[in-house]
Amino acid sequence: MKHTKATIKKYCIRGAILLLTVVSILFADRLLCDHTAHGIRQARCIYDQPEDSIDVAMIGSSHIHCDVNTALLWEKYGITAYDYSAAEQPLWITYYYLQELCKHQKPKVVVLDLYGPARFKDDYQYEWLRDNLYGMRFSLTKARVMTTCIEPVYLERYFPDFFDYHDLYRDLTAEDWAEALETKDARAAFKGYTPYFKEAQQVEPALEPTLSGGITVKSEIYLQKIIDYTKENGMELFLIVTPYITTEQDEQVYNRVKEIAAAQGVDFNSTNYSYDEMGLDFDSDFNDASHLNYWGSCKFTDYLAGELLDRYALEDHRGDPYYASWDRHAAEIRRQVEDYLNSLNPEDRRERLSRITQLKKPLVSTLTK
Amino acid sequence: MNFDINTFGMLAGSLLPYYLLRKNWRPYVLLFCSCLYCWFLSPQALFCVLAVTFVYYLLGIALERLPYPRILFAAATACGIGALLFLKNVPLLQSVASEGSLLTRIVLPLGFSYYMFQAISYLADIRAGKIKAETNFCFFALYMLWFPKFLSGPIERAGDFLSQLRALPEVRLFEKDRIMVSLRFLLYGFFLKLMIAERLSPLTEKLFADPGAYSAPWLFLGMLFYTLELYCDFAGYSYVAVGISHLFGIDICVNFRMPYLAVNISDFWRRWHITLSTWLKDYLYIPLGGSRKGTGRKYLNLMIVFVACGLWHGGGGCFLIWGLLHGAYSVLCDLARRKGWKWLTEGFTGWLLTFAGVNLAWIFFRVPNLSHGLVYIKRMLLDHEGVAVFAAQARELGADAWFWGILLLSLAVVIFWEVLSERKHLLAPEGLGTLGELGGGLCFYALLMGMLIFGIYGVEASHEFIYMNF
Repeated sequence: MKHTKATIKKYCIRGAILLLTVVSILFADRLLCDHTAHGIRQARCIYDQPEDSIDVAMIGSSHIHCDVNTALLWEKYGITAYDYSAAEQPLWITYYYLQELCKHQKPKVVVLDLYGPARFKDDYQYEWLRDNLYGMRFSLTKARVMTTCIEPVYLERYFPDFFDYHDLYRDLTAEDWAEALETKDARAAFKGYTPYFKEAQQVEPALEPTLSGGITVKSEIYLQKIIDYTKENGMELFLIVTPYITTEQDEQVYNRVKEIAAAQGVDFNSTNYSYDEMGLDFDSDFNDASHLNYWGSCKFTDYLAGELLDRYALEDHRGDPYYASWDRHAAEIRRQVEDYLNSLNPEDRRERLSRITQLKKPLVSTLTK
Repeated sequence: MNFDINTFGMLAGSLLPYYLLRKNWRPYVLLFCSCLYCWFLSPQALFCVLAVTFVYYLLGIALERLPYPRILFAAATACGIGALLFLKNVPLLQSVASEGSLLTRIVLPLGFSYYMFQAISYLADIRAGKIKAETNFCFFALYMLWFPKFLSGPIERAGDFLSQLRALPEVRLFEKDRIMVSLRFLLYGFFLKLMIAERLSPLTEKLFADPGAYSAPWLFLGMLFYTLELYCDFAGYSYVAVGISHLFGIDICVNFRMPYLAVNISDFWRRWHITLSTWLKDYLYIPLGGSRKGTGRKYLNLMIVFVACGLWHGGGGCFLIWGLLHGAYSVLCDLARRKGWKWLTEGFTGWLLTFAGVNLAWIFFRVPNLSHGLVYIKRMLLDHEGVAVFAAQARELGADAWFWGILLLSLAVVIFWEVLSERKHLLAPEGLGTLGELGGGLCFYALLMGMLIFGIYGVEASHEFIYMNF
């Protein structure tokens, strides 16, 4: 009896220590991991979204999470969208992202940005790989991502993730602690959109490409896989190119994708031919040559919403308490915009506010009060 | 054995079939895994070790059955030692060989130093009648190839190792706290390697590469750092090898017993690289006559042994100087004992002298050549610059507050643990098991979490252990 009690006590203590260790490792992982909003935060927060709440999944490169204003889509149209994207994301990672998304969500529409396959031609791309990988939870899907996007000789650099960023304890900030201790509700309120506020004057590209081609074999294979996957799972696929300073070479790829889309019966829109319709101002709506700033993203998102509502039947979920996280998301974006405006001098603030008035969004009425 | 994620994969890949398949297959499963491990390291190394294994397997049987065993043993030993000496000095020979010649393509096979000494000790033990020749080739091959000890030892004795293989079918994973004991050795070994050795490695690399660029205090610290790095790296590896072997029911020799607590040089060599020092004692020092042929002969034998020890580590003047230094220390230690000068060979003074002497000798172990070593020592003793220079060089070396904090805390843990374990006549990892379930569990947790967060591993770490280069 005594021996049994002692054995039970021994295993209880060991079990408790094991549990403590596991919890500590999970917390350390959350604390020390990169918290970038170039893909890691987008990938982490997807797991905290209410089950089957995302109607429109925006996937692809940073053009998505910089240019698609999910707060505007919600406030003005009641569309529940999530920017599930990462910097310079190639299509083979996007394909597995889509599979990961569909574990807990059933989006009606998948909007795929095509900048990645147009601009980057290497079959293995490492510059932003961490931002594409480290937000994803480990699973068979992630294992497949890694074997597809990492050459075997480099695998140990990226797996386990924790081995790569465990030494970031040196650079911890208050924000890192805040994010590690964030509640599930706070994470659910993040929908991927990260507004930029810089203004960099750009030159409108003059586009007259007639050729098509330049897409790599690997990209084309995975584009086809994405098309097949969305069809098999009853999702509409909308292939887009967001506004940026495009090039002849990029346009050739888009022409090729347009051909594929036409052959497969998939919707396609290169919005680089719709600058006027959007009302984009090349002097003030771009953060840099590749991304729109907040003002540009509002114009583009308004245009995109029109495209989505014309093509697909999307519900307006405003007022439904199940989607309260989108209300919190919109409030957070408003706060970020207000913080930015408050950082300006009075003259600049007036000028920016006048731009908001011109945008005619519900966001406007809140900020101009 | 290297340390990277593949090591854990190797371990898991070996444990599962070992315990799930038929028990009688266990030695063969381990042999297969060891061959696979060696293949992934280097196919040439696998070919070489299998060739040596086959030859010495036949030699072992031949020693028992053929006439003129003395001649056979002498020839086999001479060939083995000759091959080892040749391969150790290949880098020197290559520096004078003509480009493209056969000599320039020769490299010392991985693990050669260790398994060649094992093979020689195997034959010597048969010759001395201590053991019988192993008739099962696979068992002998496993003795030579066992993967946790393949790259950096310990140098196992055939009798101890082979007798355990026949008992492998009786081993149970969940008996005698096997998993906990193994985990303690693994944890402590990795703690030494990742918290201390890997942390010091970039600094010693810079300090020893260019001593002219650093001030005397930093060079002095460099000497200390290397002393710690070498111990933590090698002992860490050894503890990991013990822990892994224990998981399979194989107990290999412990190679270290807190050597830097030694109070004289003899004590040091009873604690440092124990399997090498006992090999040299049993197969070189004693056959030479040991201390049985007078004091003068004893001192000569000591010098021969330590020169051989130096040359085992590598060719060139530096290892020779290192060996000569240790030989001289041993002679002086014996002289001091004979004179009754106990204060030199016991207590705090004995410890201080031993630690200082070992530190100085390690300089020659580390530097690429003799003149470099002399420059290092000269600058360390003579060139002193101000505090501002020290601080500026600290920044350049990356020795910031985090570095010092984690290093000193880790050293405090290790020193505390080793002293405490020494008093209980236990090894440091065994000491973890004497704190009770809760105390031991919390210590385990603290060491593990400390290592996971503050340890140096991943892409920026070296993965390799220093002694695999020998």
